[in-house]
Amino acid sequence: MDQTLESRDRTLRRRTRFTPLWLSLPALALYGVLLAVPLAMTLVLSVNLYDQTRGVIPALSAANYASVLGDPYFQRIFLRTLRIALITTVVAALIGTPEAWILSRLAPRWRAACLLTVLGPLFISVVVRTLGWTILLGRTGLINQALLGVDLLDRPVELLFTETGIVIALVHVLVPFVVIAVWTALQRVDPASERAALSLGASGRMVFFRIVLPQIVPGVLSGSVIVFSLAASAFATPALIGGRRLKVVATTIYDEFLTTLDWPLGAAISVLLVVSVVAIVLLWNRLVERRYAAVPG
Amino acid sequence: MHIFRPLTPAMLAVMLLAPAAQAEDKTLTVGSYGGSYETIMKQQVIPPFEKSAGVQVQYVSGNSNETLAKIQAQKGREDLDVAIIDDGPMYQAKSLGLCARIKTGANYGDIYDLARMGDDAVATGVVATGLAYDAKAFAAAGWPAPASWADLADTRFAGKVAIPGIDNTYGLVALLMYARQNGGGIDNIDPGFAYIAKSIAPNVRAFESSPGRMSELFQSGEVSLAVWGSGRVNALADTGFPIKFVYPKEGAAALLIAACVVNGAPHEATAQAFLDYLLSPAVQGLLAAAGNGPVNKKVTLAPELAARLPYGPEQVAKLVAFDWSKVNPQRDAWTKRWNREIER
Repeated sequence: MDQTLESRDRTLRRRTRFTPLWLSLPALALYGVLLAVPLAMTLVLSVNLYDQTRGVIPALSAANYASVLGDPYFQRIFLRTLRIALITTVVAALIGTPEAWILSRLAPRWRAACLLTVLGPLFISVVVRTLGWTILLGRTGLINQALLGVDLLDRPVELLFTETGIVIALVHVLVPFVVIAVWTALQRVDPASERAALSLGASGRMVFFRIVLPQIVPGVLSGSVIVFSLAASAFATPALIGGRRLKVVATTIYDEFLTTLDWPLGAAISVLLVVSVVAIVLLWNRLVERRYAAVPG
Repeated sequence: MHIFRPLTPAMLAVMLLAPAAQAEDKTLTVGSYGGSYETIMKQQVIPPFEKSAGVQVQYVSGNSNETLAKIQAQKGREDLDVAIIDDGPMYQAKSLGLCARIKTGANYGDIYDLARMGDDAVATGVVATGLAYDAKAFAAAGWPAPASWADLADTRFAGKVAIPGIDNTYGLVALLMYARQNGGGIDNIDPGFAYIAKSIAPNVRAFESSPGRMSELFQSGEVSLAVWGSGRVNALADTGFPIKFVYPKEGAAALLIAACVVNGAPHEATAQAFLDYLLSPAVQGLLAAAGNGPVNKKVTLAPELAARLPYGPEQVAKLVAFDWSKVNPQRDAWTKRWNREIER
């Protein structure tokens, strides 16, 4: 009896040992084909060379990287991209965090309606949404008409074709990511701790800043990482709202691939973008983990 | 002229009938644009030629680069007899030796010099790149209509000007025109860059290459003056927008609709006859309806049609055509410079 049970147990264990592997195989294959292979190909392309009359020349050269890193033109584009991404991240976190807190305190009926409004931007095609913003942000757009109409300004404020305009449109679409991350963190906050603070005489402000906020900071930070990486690689919004003057890394890659046809240079810029975003995100994560390792989630 | 359309009825017909067509020796194959051009060619231009020459004409539609790719791919076992494409790709075809020498026919003597693209290609139509302006906005501000390329540098229009980027033919042409007017040209582009960077760029609201976005910039009142093509201006004007096209006094740039007989064409004599037929006043009048300005001096157009096209010796004489075989090799270097010196 014991013998058979034990052997059955062993067979079962042997049989299930590879189950996790088999179960994750489809996902691994998907990542391999759609992520690893293209990345590897981009990497290979980036060390090739390009000649106008001969096209892409197979080579092993760091020339493309040198010409990107050493050129003030590309340096300016990288700096602009990182600046836009950083400001977008900060603004999105500042708006998204209180938004999620307010949402979580609403009556369930209102909460559903408001959540749908917050997530709305994600349901609309990026091109349609951005074209909508170009109409709003223009010199004769709704925002300027309203500001001029109430005599707040005597001349239109420049929003279209500016970094401010890009940030506004990016924040609009990326705020939901902060809201969702903070929302998840808020679910884990014990409401009793807020009530305890109140019963001990803390003000509503103090409760938010001393009790709630420290518990949801990991949510804010993880939401910020998503916002940062999406903002740094955004294409349609900077292309349509920034125009050709305010080039960002993504639009520069597009130009190199499709206008100049210098694929190797475009690939090198792509690799540098991926590397810099991954480096910033990893650094961020390490800082967060060190700081909040002690805080119980 | 129009984007990739894989299975137009014409292409389908060619795919199905190709073997039969080859066996039957009286079929002339023409590769050219789709869209309204194809409609006019098939309904009005080709039937009379089929009757008079006693042949069948197969029309294979595709944009210029597709047609160029086709005649390049079939080198040695030619299928297409005649190619009608934009001048840029045509210069490429010429330099690749894909075009046969033209046997000048009865109508060749009547065409403008501008249309003579060497001894192996000829322009059958012309469209212009010049200035576009919002007539209503100009009237409201009390500005006279623009008349010169230099008007884009007028500080009155600060922040009201748009120029297509250099990735677009109109933007490239603007650079060449400004180089020309400031003592340079294809071989000396520096004055063009210097002038645009110093005088034009400060006025430019946006460098916009997409025709759709350019239309939107006009419609939303963001810009009132731009460098643009006559065909695009007509398309926007047809929607009821008060946009007008101007041939600047220094001359507008010409975009030629070029035709050539394919080198090694299976029906060369018929192809040569077809090319001359395209230059005849009757056909030139028909093609004007598709937006092509006539290249034959003898064509008379109705006033409303004439107003939409580069038309008449005076206007055509002022058109400037560029030698794309000299422009193409420099394009990459110019694009790099444009990105660094102009679009910033």
